[in-house]
Amino acid sequence: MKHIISDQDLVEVNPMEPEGSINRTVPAAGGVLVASDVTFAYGSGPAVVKNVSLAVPEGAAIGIVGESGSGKSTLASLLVGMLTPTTGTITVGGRPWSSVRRRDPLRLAVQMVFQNPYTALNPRMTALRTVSEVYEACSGAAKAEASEHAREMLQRVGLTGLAIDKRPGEMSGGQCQRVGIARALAANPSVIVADEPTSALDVSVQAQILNLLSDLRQEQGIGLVLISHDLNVVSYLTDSAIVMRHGEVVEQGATDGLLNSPAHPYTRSLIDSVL
Amino acid sequence: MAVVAAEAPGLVPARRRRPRRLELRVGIGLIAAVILACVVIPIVNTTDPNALVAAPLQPPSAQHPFGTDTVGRDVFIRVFTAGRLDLALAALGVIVPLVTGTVIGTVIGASRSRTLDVVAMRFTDGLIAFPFMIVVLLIVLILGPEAQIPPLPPGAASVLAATWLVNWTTYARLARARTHVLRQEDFIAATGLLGYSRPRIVVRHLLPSVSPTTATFAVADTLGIVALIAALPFLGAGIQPPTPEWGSIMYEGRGVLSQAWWISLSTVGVVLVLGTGVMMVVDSLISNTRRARLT
Repeated sequence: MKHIISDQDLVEVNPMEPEGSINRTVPAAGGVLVASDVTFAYGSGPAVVKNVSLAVPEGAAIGIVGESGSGKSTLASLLVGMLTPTTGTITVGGRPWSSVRRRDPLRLAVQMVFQNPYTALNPRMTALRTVSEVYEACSGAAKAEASEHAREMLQRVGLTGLAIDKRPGEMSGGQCQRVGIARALAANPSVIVADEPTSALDVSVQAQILNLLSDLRQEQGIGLVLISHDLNVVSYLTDSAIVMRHGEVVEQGATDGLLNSPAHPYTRSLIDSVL
Repeated sequence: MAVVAAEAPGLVPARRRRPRRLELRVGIGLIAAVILACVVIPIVNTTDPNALVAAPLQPPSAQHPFGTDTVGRDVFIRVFTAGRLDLALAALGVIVPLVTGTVIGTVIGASRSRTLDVVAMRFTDGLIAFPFMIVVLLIVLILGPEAQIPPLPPGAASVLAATWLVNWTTYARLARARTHVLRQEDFIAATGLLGYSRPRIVVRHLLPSVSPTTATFAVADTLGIVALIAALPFLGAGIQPPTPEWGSIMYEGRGVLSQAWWISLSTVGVVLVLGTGVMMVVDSLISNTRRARLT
């Protein structure tokens, strides 16, 4: 096992990972992904995320809810290291994102499932190629071996047969989202950040994708940060949640508690708007 | 918890079906007709394009479909022999800048170095701003009108050198702009999250998405190069006589246009057919690219 940080801080996770896949190690103590007092502003504009703190323990599922423009997607980009906080820190495996270089194995510990399943995939690559490339690039697998792993992974997310040789333009939104999930899983992450993963999909397909995320989380013990404006989705998949408004966390706690007895008027208004 | 149901595989919404490509097919047909004529006619009709075959300024006839020129050469065989050279020069004058410009622009666009971006783009802006004809004439002066790259005729070297020196800049600008747009796309963001190396991102993800844009421009640029080669004889540069070349044929016919319109207009007609075909292909490719981006 390739260790990312010192041996005494590490535990091995994901006993189900296939042989030859990418190794995953995360710190035993504290959250896998921890945001501490994070503030972010685009350029010299106003802060769109203000003093947000959260920790994603191993295998936990956390929901982030709020209306459009509340800073959810920006927070998602910060959590996966696509954006750098203006102030505060985000650590993965105990190390700040700023110290994790592109080729650092820890880079793979947090992956993302994007909102738009079509734009999330290279339009010129088949589903199989999209996923097999992860094994080639990240674990140095030979092409044939990478294809074999990719087939297994695509099968695991429910894509088999002719569908795996199709490009995004030839697939349905649900199929594309499954490929996006398979690509994220191929990196063997400790945490998946899913930014509105069902909002671009038909209602009938939404349930399939949610079931898939739920199954994979339970099977593989992967942490999940689910960004959504849909309270039903968050209540279905997560154990705890934070409610954001204007870039700030207005309320947080166990998901059931938040939905059944909200303390903040904004949370109540969100729940009322659904009902 | 089980996945509820499998989705219908291969279900493609109507809006993403391939549009009819009549315009593309007609355009390709016109281009192919000109290319085929330029290849086949000089093989079937073995008349030397520089041979004096009849009296000067004979109008079109069954024996000489495009008539004869000011010294009695067959314009028909000269026009289609000239087409071989013009099309070969246009292809060479486009392919090299297309490849170099696309790669340079994509690499600059993918780079996070602001300094590299500013320096490279100001350099290309300078080259673009410099009048292209002046560059060609300068190179003709430096290399001399007789400079030759075998098997191309004298004068071709300076035309190619000028296009290779300057033309890549337009492709680089296009490629850089497209790369900047692509960098905002989720699938490129995903490559960063997966820790892919920069060369892999450029070669496997950016270049395949950038090249349709620059290739579409290249098709239109081919016509521009044909026009440039045809324009150079009017400035005393370019392919040297008596080598048949569309520009030099039109230039020769210019002086006798009122008496022998067939010399210039037959050449113009062939270039028009080629140009119409090229523009139909370009329009079709652009609309297809737009559709592909919308879906």
